[in-house]
Amino acid sequence: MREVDRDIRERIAALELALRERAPRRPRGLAGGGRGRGPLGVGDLEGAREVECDLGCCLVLERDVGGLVSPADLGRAAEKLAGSPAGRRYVFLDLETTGFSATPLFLAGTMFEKDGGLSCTQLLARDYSEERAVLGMLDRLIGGFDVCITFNGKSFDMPYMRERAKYHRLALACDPEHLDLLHHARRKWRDSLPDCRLTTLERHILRRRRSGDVPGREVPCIYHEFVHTGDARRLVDVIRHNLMDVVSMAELLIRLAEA
Amino acid sequence: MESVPSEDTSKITRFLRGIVSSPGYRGQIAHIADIPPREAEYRDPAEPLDPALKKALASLGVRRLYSHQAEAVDLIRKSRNVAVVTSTASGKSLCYNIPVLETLYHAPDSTALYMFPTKALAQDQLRALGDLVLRLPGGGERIRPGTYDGDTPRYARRKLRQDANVIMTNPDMLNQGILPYHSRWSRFFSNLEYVVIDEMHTYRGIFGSNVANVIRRLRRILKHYGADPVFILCSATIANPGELAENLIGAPVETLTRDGSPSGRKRFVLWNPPFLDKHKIGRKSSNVEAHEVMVKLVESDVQTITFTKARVVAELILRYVRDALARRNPHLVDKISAYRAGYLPEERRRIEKALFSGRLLGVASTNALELGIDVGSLDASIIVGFPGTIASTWQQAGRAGRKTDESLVVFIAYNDPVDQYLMRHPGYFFDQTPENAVIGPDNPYILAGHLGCAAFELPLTKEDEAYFGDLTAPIVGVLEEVEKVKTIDGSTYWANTEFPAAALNLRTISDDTFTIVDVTGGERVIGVVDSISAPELVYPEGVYLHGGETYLVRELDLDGKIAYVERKEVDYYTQPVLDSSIRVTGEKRSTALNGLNVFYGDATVSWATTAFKKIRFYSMDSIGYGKLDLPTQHLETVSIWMYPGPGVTDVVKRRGRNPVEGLVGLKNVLINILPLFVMCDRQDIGGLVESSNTGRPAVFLYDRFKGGLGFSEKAFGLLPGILEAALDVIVECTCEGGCPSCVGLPVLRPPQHQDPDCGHGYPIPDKETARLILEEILERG
Ligand SMILES: [Zn+2]
Repeated sequence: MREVDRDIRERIAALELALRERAPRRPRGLAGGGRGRGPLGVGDLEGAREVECDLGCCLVLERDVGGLVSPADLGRAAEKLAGSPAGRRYVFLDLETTGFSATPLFLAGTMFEKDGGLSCTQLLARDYSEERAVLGMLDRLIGGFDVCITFNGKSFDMPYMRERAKYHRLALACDPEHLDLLHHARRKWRDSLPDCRLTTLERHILRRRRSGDVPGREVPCIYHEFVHTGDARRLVDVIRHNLMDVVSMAELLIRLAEA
Repeated sequence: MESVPSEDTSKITRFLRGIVSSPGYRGQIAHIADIPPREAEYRDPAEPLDPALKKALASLGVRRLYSHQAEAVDLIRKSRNVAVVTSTASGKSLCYNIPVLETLYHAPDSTALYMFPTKALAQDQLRALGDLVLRLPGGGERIRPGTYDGDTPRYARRKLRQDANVIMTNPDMLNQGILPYHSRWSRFFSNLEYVVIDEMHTYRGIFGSNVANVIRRLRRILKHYGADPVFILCSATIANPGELAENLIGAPVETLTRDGSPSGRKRFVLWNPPFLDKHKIGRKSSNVEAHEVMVKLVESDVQTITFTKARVVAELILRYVRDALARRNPHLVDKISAYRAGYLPEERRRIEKALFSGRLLGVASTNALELGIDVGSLDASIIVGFPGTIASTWQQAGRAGRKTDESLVVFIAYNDPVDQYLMRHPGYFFDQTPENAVIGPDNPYILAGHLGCAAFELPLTKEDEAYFGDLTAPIVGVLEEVEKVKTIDGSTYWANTEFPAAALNLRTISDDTFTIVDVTGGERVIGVVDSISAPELVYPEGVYLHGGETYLVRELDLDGKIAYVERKEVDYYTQPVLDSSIRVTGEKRSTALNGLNVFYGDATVSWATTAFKKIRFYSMDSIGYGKLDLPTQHLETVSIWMYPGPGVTDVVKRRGRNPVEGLVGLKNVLINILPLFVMCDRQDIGGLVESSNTGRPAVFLYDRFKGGLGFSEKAFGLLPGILEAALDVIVECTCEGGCPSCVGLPVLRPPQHQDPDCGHGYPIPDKETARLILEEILERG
């Protein structure tokens, strides 16, 4: 009796219970369980369209973030911060994932100059099978720029992306310079702020609060739920959260470059 | 008793002769089996070894390979999977280290994965491989081994993943720390040439079934990275090594069982403690007897290991031996130690080293030293009480035995029916084949956990049925219904925020531990104990024995998981009094089988330490008693239970026999054969006969795993065939009144913290009555 595993976690116990109570097991087969692909509500989002590449499909959400910040100002700020020559092309990047790098990422938010204004492009995997396509398209997208700007991307977004590419055995072509705003923010505000998380900086430096924002720890759960149900109502909040992150980064860049 | 040969004068022979001619000898030797020496059989591999490696081996004293080593090298060079099944000190690790080094030395980008059942074994093998690598010119740069397990610091992990080409780990780490993060291992896995699985025989029952599934997961990840390594397995002797190896790795394996290593002559002595008086009922304490034999061996400069069934007995024997040496040979007192689970790793390493170097002359150990930690070969092994399996007994016996010198095994019986049976029938022992190692990797409950992990690691597709079998699709369906996974276009993905590998414990024992803190002048951690055992080992006011010293338990903090003990010299030790019961909580199915009523359903097994007894050292007089108020522990599981109707019991009673005796016998036979029908180990099922649930004596057989693993459920469905087999076993067994092979199963799970010396044993149940009951039910006879 001593060797009984009392440590087995409750969820597996529940799972075993579910198994046990399903006396006549109906073979369901591995295939065919998927709900219809289709737009599932996310397709109805503004600026959404399905895109296909050699690695599969995913959803692209494009929107103009117009006169928020002037691209020229952003360029100057980035040049100043990174000490790089003029004329470089910049892209902001923020990933939404299902946890740690052994699990999929599903949303890549990017922002860059387009036709004199700022354009935001989000790549969304509508289910786990589309992660490959998101990675492939993201690789190509970032590859079109010289510098990638992130917040904590040195230790999170970039390794995450590389790790997921390795998982799928994809070779990433993009190899941009990297400007991580977190490091600059720490240097500048470490002594005057309780911490340097993006939300803290928004409140104290950008002087705004997000309303109805999704706490980061709920993001993985919301995504899994979306994949199971196809109901995009809560996912929309995550997409907005991701967009806000990218926009805040741009504003922060300006503030960081201020003397 | 057989005569002790007089023509030679080895240490062992002199020792035995001294014993029988000493005035205190009371005829304890029931039998001596003489196991003749075996000559070394050398062979060269078909193609010569690499000269650099040959030189390195020679500098370690290995000038030629034993035949089994050469055969293994030949097969492995031909990319064949191999299982090597030879004795303890036969140089098994060279069977894998040679091919691995040959490959990696010339292609340092290639990699090898070694899996051991414990972290300690991995450490031990890392040292052994390191010795060899250092002797290869430039070996240090080309061969970069490391252990990767729960003890590996974070900074070292990254470096190992990036750089190491030999990784030594354990199945638990593969499950939780490596396979789920395989993309970080892409370099290592893409270049994997060898997978080494040592101590294969430990992968049996529930643990083995889990490990087989970990290997299935490993193989599909390797396929993802395009690797197809050779598997090299090593095992102690079991009945079915080839079958176990193939079940574990899911591929054909060539099995090598011919041992080319030499061994000296071995004397195997069956030793029965003498009767206390002329009534011939009580016998002298086996522990006291064991310590006397050990003292004499140590005093004769014979390096000895004493194996005990309980931790407390290892401590008792250490204490007794030290006391005796302090009186007679004080310079030897420090040359004795105990070794068991619960000692801190550093303490264990110290003891292993001292044993290896010969600084220690004697160690009293639980089966913790049964596994292949290299402590060198010893001269003598004392086995106190039948360890429960023939395989285990030979493992323990194998700790004694040098290449050429004579060695000695003394098996000391307890005064219980199985041990006494073995004393009366020495042939049983030496003729018996070791047990089968059974695993059931397709057990749906076990599969469910691993399929979840597999989906997490890489999406499952139709092709994965090749790894996980026919149940794959239905179980994936269930996982999908509970929203653990999601199938999209024929690929099944993990679709949940949980980390499935964390919910999967491969072993039936828990890694949840209590710390034992000595508060005598400051606080010092002296040991650990798993949390299930804690209430039986470190209960308040009890005596905790550590290093042969007595500590009084001051407090057992159940929430903080700490036991506070204080050093205090007392002349007694304590034994827990356990109370256990089984309660049916939900009958799910029932059937009547020709006068036998059979049920299946939920049951809760409960146990608690309710009191303890104080027992004086040596005399074993009970000198006191204390009540305890500790929480009851529960195992919620599933069980089958059965009782014969009046028609059957009447037949038994008319023959003047007691049905309960027959039921106990039936229960024992069933535990012996059930594993072969439901694919588990004997240790995975529990059994008892009790009457509180049904109002009459009933046989209960339950899954020894929380929630159950389907063993008793399957047994319910297969019962007619199982009962037929049970009757065959009883009828075909040539014993007279029952033996350990049929109705007289040894206590399977001897309470780990109880001194068998203090029990009264139990009679071997009535074979005839068990036969009668079965014949009535099956209408045979
Ligand atoms: Zn028998």
